Amino acid sequence: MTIDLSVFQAAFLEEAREHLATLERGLLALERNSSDEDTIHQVFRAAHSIKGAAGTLGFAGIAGFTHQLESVLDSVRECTFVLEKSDISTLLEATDQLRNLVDAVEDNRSIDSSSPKLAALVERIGSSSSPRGPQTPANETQMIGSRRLQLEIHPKRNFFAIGLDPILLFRDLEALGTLSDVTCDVTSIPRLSELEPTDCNISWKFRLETTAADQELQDVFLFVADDCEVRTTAIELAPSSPNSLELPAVARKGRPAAIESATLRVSSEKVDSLIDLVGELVIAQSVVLQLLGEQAVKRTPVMRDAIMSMKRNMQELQGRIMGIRMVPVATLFGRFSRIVRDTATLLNKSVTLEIEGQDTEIDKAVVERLADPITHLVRNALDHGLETDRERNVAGKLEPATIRLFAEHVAGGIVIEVSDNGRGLDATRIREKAEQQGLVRPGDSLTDEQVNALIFEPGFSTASEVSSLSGRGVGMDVVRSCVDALNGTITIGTKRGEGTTIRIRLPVTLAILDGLLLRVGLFTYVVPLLAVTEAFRPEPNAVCSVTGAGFVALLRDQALPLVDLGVQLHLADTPKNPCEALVVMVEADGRQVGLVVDALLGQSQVVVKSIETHYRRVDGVLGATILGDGQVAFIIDVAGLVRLAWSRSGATEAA
Amino acid sequence: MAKSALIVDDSDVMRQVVGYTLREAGFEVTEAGDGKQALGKLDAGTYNLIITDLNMPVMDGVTFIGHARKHPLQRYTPILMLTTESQESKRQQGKAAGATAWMVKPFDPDRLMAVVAKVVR
Repeated sequence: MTIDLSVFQAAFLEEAREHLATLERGLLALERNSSDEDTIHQVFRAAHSIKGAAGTLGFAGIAGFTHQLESVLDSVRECTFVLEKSDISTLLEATDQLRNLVDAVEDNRSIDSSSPKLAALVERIGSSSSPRGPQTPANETQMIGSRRLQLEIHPKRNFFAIGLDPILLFRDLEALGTLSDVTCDVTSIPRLSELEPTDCNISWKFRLETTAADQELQDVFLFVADDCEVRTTAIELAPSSPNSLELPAVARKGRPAAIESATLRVSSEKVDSLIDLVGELVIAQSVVLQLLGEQAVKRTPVMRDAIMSMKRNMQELQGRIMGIRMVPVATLFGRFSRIVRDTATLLNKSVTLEIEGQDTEIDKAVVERLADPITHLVRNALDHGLETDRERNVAGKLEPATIRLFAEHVAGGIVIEVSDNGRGLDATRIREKAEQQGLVRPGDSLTDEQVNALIFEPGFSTASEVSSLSGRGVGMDVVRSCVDALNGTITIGTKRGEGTTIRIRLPVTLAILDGLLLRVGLFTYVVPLLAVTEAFRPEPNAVCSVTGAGFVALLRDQALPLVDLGVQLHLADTPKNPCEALVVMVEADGRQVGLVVDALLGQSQVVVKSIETHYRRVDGVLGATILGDGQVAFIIDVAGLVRLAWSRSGATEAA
Repeated sequence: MAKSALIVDDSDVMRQVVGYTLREAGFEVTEAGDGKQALGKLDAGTYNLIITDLNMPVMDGVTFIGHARKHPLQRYTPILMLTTESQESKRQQGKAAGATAWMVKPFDPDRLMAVVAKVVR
């Protein structure tokens, strides 16, 4: 039978990565408490499983490498070796290398699978007690001429009771040669009254003419060796199993069972197509309702009930299907214990990582795209946000340097915070720097908040310059564009000497959006509700026209730049008078802008359809959706508009 | 009648590979992710073969083998243990618990079926 095992590769990769995560998590836990038996077992089992599967699928490099890892962990498990901190580092590095090896399988590359450090560790432990390597026992085929053997088989009484079956022995022997003179000895069968029908009371004698090698013959009896006496004459057939002096290990005390839920692996495309379909259904449903007409429905109680039930179920269905995509942010936060540990070691800072709210669920697609920006923020906080141990001492800060990752659900979205209790941002110096770089002009009036937001500007500062400042800013513009792309917002809270918190607010999912429906001219547009702060009609005396920048509204003594959506979207040539229209205040990156629109139509959950995949990227537009009446509406890219408005008003203020 | 097999392994990949191989060979396959789950599947009928991993969470293979062997429906069922540990002690524990045969991982489908042929009629 030939079976192509490559079809299992994807499953292998996925599983191996899970085990790698367990391995890493476990090793980090062992660093804190090296004698935790549960963790040791988990870690061992992770390595063990990778090795087994890799060997079976023919990834010899991975199997061999993991074998070394496993043998170290085995010694730890058997308490013959105690892990030092440096050993854990070696094992963590080995885990990284193993991950590379696994990645290489996916990319069809071959990379070096040797690790001198790990090998040295294995050497130091003395691998005599470690499990045997993954290599399959060599099949020695010695060619021997035909020979005749006399065999006797005496099964023990319990032969059947462990699932053995003598007939199978004969079948195997027959395959090796010719059986003759088979006699069955039934003399040991007791009288019926004493017969225990489940016992084996018979034995056999026979001759075998065969060309098979000793090894092949021994293989026949491989599993019965302990439960059956086999005698061969004519040539000596070595007993296949030496008596073992090893005692069974003392049974371990029952450990509390790990909570494991049965899961089903489904490709994300399948889930995505379900989400699409249910989205279409929701739209179709509203079209049907609109066609029927509200009055008609209200007049017919039976129909009204049916429709209510359909609506409810549809909503439930949509929720449940969306739920499939949701994963706890723990999958994202989990990796940071390692990153913080390694980076802190590198920087020679002692840093504690606090994680809170890791059960908060978020769309898997969002989580995946958050990995890079959050990593960036954490690294920045470690490098620039936190002081060195000495600086902290000098400053009299008693609490340990801490990075805190936090997640929680808020209305319509999720908030993720990366905070440190380090030195905080220095607005004065950021401003200096920004002026040097021409991002702001001397004399521009900016609040501290606005100044701090400057670190998100592309081109603000570089690593070396920021390190010497008490700020940060390495590629923060990249972080912001990642968050923008996720339709989220990012803000900074900071206090000199006390620390910095970067707050990212995101929609729970990218597939559905709570939107505010607006009318501009004859068209309907959608603004993500998450970005909307308030809507108002300005008093005539609170609006002033600024040359080159359209209108600015004064709201609670703050100037709010206004963007006329009609002009912005090329629906009108001249901006309408904001006092005769409505202003919807939206916020992105801590800055506000008023969108001037004709009317508010209401609030609705819309299914986001990408324009990019069907057409191309359109500036100022996040995507499109189909409304209840079948009309297509564009979803406004608030972050883009806000930035545009501010760059314009900034230029004007200076003018 | 199709032969039936119960596969007990915490690794999806291993279950898939073993399951696929046995199905190709005409077995009807039931799967379980650990010993405890597998215990729940022993009442379903007498299996022609049980294949179990040894190192598993929740309930390990040796404990499972002990229970399975005592189960009235599986008293004579061949139980094949899969292990990467070729250590004699582990194998002895398995045998003492009632395992019929063992197989050292890694293996390819051919080798698996060769071993299966040694314990299943």
